[in-house]
Amino acid sequence: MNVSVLSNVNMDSLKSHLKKVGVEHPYFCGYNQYLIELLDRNSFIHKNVQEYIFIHLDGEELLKNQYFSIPRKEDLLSDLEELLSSLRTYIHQFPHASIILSTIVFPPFSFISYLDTNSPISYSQIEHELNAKLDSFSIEQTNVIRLDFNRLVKLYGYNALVDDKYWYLGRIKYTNLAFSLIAEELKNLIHAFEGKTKKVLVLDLDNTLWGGILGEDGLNGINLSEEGVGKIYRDFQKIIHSLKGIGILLVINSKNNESDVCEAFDKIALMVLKYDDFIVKKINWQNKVQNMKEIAGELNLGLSSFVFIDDSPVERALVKESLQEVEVPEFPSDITMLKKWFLSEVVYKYFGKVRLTTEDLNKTEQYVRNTQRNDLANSTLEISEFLKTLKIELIVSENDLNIKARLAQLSQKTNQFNLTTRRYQEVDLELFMECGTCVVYGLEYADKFGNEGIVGAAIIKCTQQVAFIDTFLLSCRVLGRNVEFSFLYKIIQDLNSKGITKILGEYLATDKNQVVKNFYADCGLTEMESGKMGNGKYEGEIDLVLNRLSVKCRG
Amino acid sequence: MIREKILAEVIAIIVDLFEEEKNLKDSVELSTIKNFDSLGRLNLFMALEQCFVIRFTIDEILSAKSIEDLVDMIVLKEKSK
Repeated sequence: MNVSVLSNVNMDSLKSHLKKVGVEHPYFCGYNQYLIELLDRNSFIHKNVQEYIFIHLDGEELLKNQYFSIPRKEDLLSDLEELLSSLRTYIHQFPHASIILSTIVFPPFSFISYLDTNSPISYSQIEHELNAKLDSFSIEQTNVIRLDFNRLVKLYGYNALVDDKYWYLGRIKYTNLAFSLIAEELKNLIHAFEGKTKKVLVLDLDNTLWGGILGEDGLNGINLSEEGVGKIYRDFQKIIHSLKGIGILLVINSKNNESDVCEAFDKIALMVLKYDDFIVKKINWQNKVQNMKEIAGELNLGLSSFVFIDDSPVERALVKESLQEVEVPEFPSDITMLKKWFLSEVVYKYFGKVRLTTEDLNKTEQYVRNTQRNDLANSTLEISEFLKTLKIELIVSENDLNIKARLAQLSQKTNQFNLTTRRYQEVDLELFMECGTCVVYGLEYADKFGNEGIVGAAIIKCTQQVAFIDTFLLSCRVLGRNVEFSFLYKIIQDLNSKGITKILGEYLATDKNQVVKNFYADCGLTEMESGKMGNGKYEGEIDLVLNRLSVKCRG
Repeated sequence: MIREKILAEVIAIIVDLFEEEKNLKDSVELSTIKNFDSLGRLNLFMALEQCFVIRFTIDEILSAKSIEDLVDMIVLKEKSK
């Protein structure tokens, strides 16, 4: 990952901490040179392609002499506008760079003392307005995100993160702890931005989701209440329920009798989560590792999408050692820490989100419908008969800016049915849609069980009468229903109507996309060149491809 | 904390911070450590403060010449805790 750091204080100490989170050679602009770096066409960030530019402005340094006199809000807002204007120019020139703007934090003390909260003279108010301006800027620009330094200050305290001693010695404003936290936060934020966060929260039940052991203590012994320790578990359940609401899939992996657990969910009135909130329930007496593998199979997701929460150190160790792809955070020994631990150590680290799509909001329902489809498939002898009963409806959109966030999310997350695994961000898709020679297609899927939303994307680059399929991908949720052939068929029909005569395709092999190795050959394209690692280049006359696909779609 | 343990921790921090591969002993001069410069000195003291939960004065930061100096200072601070 390629990161540049621009600041009004010396941030060089961040270097060793960034290395620990996987950023090997970050660039640091000179002390207080951030504006020059952004504006100078000969600066490092102009001469070198940047993936991420992290801009951290220290609040006290931003105030300069105004920290020692009555602050003038207009001057500070105008200084900030100068930065935003420079940033707009830079973003216009380098649309592929993503900008991470830190929140501005003023010192929690100043010579105006209580006037700050009791009069119009207020540093806090100015701080709020500056950050609101940065918030608006990040909403206006799709490739600008915010790093909440203020959250870290609230969590650890200003004195633990800011130390004037190193400021006077070397213009370093922050402590070692602050730099390690900023590096960790940057890593997690970038993961969230790139959609590399986890999808599934796997939960144990006894002494995890509720207090007590159901099999031993019985229904009446379960601790779940509005008072005392029982409230800890109830609050924990409330958070988990909210996570489900923003697209995290919930799963139970518990050693228990299933009938006892059903009864507990049914009869305990203060249970926040309902049995049906869990997309898969593995409630049995078999090894939790085996359960975990079965869950992955049922959801058609890799184990690297899983986070496992269990109070038992033995179960945690077993899963951790046997399934290294699964994230298994330590469980707090002091149960009163459960809420704070889960939110700060688990949610931000594994389930962080920067944008929310419609698909996120309906994720669990989509997987439930998939289970219903699988049940129908299992009860139907012929696949063709099964597909007919589904009554599939496909809507293909073309260059629709309204769905760019979802298409970017698919591009970042889809690994299996993805011919080239090229990762694109919203800004890239915007450029493709507006360039005049590319067509970005989106595929919306619905059947008798419901609407799955946007499940497929394709990016086609056209040169005269030739179309090159840069990207062709489909969410694993709709695989096995011949949707891929229908999607490509509709695309090729459209290209045909645009005067295209030849189709070029490419397969770039990864560890995860073997399922599409023969896709283009199946679609009637001919392999022209096979490269290393199983990669292949394909081409086909548009009439032949259309004929082949129409047969495939009928099948 | 016994002196040997402190020495081992100090050396571990230096190795981590400066990627120094040579065998470090307490007699090693800080200025001879790979990548050590004025900023490196500050980074080293910041890491030591966090690791041992202590605070150095500006004089201490500027005067330390060797690993032995660092260990002596930390031992003193540990005793006065």
